[in-house]
Amino acid sequence: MATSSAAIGPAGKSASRRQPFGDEVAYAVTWFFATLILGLTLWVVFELWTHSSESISKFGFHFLTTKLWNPVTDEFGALPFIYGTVLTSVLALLISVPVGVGAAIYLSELAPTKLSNALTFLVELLAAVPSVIYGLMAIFTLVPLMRDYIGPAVQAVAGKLPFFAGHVYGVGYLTAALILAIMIFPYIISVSREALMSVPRDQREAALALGATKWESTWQVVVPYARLGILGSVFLALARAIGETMAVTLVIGNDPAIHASLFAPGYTIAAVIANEFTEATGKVYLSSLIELGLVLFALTMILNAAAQLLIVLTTGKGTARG
Amino acid sequence: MTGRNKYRNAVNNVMLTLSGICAAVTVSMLFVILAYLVYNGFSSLNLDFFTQLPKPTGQVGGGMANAILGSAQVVLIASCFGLPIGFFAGIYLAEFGGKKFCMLVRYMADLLNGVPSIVIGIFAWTVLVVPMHHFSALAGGMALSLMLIPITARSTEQFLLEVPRSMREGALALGATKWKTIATVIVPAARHHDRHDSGRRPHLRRDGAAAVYRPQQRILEHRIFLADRNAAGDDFHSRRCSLRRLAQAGLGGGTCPADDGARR
Amino acid sequence: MVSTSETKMAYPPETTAYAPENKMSPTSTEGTKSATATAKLRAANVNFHYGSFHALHDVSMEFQENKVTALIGPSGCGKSTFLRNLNRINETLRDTRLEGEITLDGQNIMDFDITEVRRRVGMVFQRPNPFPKSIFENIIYGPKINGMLKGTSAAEIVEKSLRRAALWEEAKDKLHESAYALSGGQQQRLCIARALAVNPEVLLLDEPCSALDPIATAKIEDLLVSLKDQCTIVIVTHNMQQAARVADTTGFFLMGRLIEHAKTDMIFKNPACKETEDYITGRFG
Repeated sequence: MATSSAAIGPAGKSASRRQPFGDEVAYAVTWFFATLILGLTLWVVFELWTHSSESISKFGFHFLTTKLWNPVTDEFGALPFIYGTVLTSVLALLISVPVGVGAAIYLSELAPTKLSNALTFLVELLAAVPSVIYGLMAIFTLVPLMRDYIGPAVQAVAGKLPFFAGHVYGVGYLTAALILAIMIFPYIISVSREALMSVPRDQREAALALGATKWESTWQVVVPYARLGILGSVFLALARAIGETMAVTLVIGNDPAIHASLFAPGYTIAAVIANEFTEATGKVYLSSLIELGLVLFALTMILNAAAQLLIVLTTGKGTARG
Repeated sequence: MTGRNKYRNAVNNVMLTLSGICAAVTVSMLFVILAYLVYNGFSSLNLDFFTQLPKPTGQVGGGMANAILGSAQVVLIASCFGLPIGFFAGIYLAEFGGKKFCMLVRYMADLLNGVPSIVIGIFAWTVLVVPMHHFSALAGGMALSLMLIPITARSTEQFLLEVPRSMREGALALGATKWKTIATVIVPAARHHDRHDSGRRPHLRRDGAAAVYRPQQRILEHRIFLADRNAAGDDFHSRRCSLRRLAQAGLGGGTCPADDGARR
Repeated sequence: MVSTSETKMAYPPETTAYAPENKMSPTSTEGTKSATATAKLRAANVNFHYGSFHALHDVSMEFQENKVTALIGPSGCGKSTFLRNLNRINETLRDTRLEGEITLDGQNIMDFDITEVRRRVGMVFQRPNPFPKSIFENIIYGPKINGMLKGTSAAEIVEKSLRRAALWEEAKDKLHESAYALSGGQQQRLCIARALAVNPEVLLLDEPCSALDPIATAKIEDLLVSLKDQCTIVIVTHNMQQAARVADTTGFFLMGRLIEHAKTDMIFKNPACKETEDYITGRFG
């Protein structure tokens, strides 16, 4: 999540003087591979674009604003999926960012080093567990829990609100958000902890030496110093949540509609692609699914741009650079 | 103790306890999951899933990331493509690049890193599966390499940037050419430096990239490690070590020998 | 207070030597009673361990009010460790142990609220470590957390602190710019201003000039001398000329022990211990 560029070592191309031959080769080789990254990314966009051309030409911009998703009549709109994706991801972030950053603060500032290292290792190991396993676990544990206990309990208190109204199926937005929150914990904890730990010791000591309590030094000095890394963790987690496929597919209910209630079943972009890609028969159908992929890519891009913007905004006055 | 200090100390205690509770909640949740996995037999659950879904064309849709994990072949192919690209691109970013072009490449790498695996799956499908008419390890490997490239590139860059300037100047002052300096001094130095301690060192750039990519790189290593275990066929077991080394070596310019247990 | 500290008994009247066979530490042998009355900060039989490493051995030392005390000695002799115990900042390190008694105005610092000790005993570190905030915010941070903003305006505190640190003229036009826009020497003076903003009674400086050029160093030395009438200063330095220039008394540390603590001219002209003489004449260290 970086924009600022530090020129370490002289810039590659110095026009005035001839470089040694070896340097030119090395420059050319590494330049080629760097450009390859650029090319590959653009290629991904290009492929998605060309393969969704039929859907794009048929629906145009309405694709994004239509609620209808009907393979029988070949009518497709992405709105329910975008809604589901954004809703579940944002809910997941709301749950996991405060708790995850809190845990990262504990791990970096309070826990003994060995304990912290061991826990972080486990946490990172869990990020590597295939997501289908999270999904299956959620089906066996979280879905019944939601249906039989959490749902009725919440409705007893706040059932009048539209967010909690309706029948509780067990599967739905909230269940998906919960499993997403669990799945992105490792990213938030691990990245935030890394960022907090890279804050120089003398910053902490400077605050303490002025009479700050441990918490004041952590919250007012260490966390702001590490904010770019913490922001990075949030955006990384959001990207993971948006793109998460299998676990969400298993617990969201797969209903291409828009519901206000968090207990209602819904659908996300990644889930619909995963479910329907195999059975997409018509050309328009397939191309619509690929266009959904393009939408997902666009969401990622917006997210990245937002991250960059935030970094630029928060790296302005009064901050350390370089 | 003044009233104000009492209040401050109370806040201090409450907040620090809260952070401990956060850690306890998340970690215990993760422990439950881990216990669940161990109890139910991690590998069987996994292998079932992989063997039950071999549909020829649609495999891509079924969760590319998981399909990718299953196959050692896939990891090998991905490493062969992804690691050199990422590694050299990382060298370019750290050592050669001009300012603007580097920014662009970094942005694209960050973008690619954020692209969901399902989208990469679609890409692999359109580019490889459709022309070849069947799902293949090649397609899976390419897809994984696309996920590997940005992480490798950005972590390599970070590692190289952490090598002190004096070291490269020392080599240059002895008359080494630039690429020789990189090949014989900077890359080895980046390989050998103690990454366990990296947190305590002031970073050259405080843009958060180091913090964001290093854990991802470790997670990816775990992923490859787990893939080893899942797909541990008989023939694979013998090749496992070398494959893992290969896969790990490129993840940000070299790692110490198999030390997953010891890593923080 | 000033008048008492200027009595002849303000610091140990004679050089007191560390004698290995004598378990008592040097300053406690004579003149202790009278000195206790005026000592702002007093350490008695301080032992400090990093894990299994015994870093300080029975250090006893007194710091007189409104005087500058320099701690000198070769690298790793424990002078910084000792300094860092005076405001309990060493407690942030894990696996450490402190024995002995350190008193501030006759009261054990362990009995204070920890934030109170650190407010009253300020500290400046080896490398300038401004927060990644503006100059203004850097200075106001301490007063803000300590609730000292009532009655006075923030701008006043900032100006006063910067003036005391002789940085006002250079910084007054960029108060709201990043502290990192300042040069190294200016950053260090900003850190001093930041420490002064909470009106500490004692100011500890841990090799504050080691990262600075001679001109910036000279400015900081002048500053220390001018600050003397406002607070008690303890400075760790590896630069003996610096100790000679700014300090009223000087303590020489070796291998975790306080070898000798006396008036600065005594230390430099007529040291009582052979080790001190060897160090000062450059035979080791």
